[in-house]
Amino acid sequence: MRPVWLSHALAGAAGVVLGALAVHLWSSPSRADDARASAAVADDGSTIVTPSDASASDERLRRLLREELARRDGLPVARTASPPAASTAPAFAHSADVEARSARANAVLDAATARLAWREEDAVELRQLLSALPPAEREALMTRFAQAVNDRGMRLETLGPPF
Amino acid sequence: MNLRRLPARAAVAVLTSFVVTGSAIAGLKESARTVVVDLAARTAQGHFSGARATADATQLITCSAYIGDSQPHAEGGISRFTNCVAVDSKGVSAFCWTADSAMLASVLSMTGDSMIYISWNANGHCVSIDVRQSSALEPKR
Repeated sequence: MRPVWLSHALAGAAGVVLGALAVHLWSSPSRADDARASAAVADDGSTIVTPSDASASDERLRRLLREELARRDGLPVARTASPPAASTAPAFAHSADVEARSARANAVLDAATARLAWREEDAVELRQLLSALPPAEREALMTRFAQAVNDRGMRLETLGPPF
Repeated sequence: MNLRRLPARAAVAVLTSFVVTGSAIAGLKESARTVVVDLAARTAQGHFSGARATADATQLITCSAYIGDSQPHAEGGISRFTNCVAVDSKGVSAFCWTADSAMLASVLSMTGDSMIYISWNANGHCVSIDVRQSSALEPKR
């Protein structure tokens, strides 16, 4: 059987060890703290947001150093730290191919409007072109087509659908 | 029940059935086959079967429904639209189109014997697409 005084002594020793360990961890500077301290020296008074991890802090430090070096050399300062804003462009990718198809479709319609006749070959070609056009361009083309037929007298000479 | 009058009632019933059958055979038949286009009023009408049965090779009335994806590997490429075309005996043509889903459904309900009436606005957008099915309309031959 273990004496009572021995148990108390062991508990006290364990407490001393844990306390020392806690003090050591509390007082040790991290890599992030190192980076923050260095960055504060390099920057000329600007506020530095504390990074949440060491890698972000390192990146900020690099950026600040680049800016300081650029200022020293008289170069324009490029602040590229913040990510670019999300694109609000339409989902449809406008490629050179799409532009070429759109131009060709309008050319086919222009030629038919000039001769006031929409023929089978026009229908076949426009059908192929329309399938690759963005919806907005397709609708604009159909509106032009409707006006050519209804207002300018272009005759439909196709055997079936106009495209 | 008066059994003496039963044969007379049976005879009336038989005669009535002949009359009903006869009227179904006769029926109302619309003979108008021509496609009518009125560009000033922005209207056109025609009967699929009637237009096909005309002697000339000019008259035409067509409605199409299109559903396609011009960008199958990304968002934003799907479009749905329908268009109708009418050409009268003189070759005067009319066209309207729409992306309206209800009108697209109306076009999809058409049959080979449908009678249709369309109207459009200044931009060529279909304002109405009326579809009529009737016993009076002749079937496609």
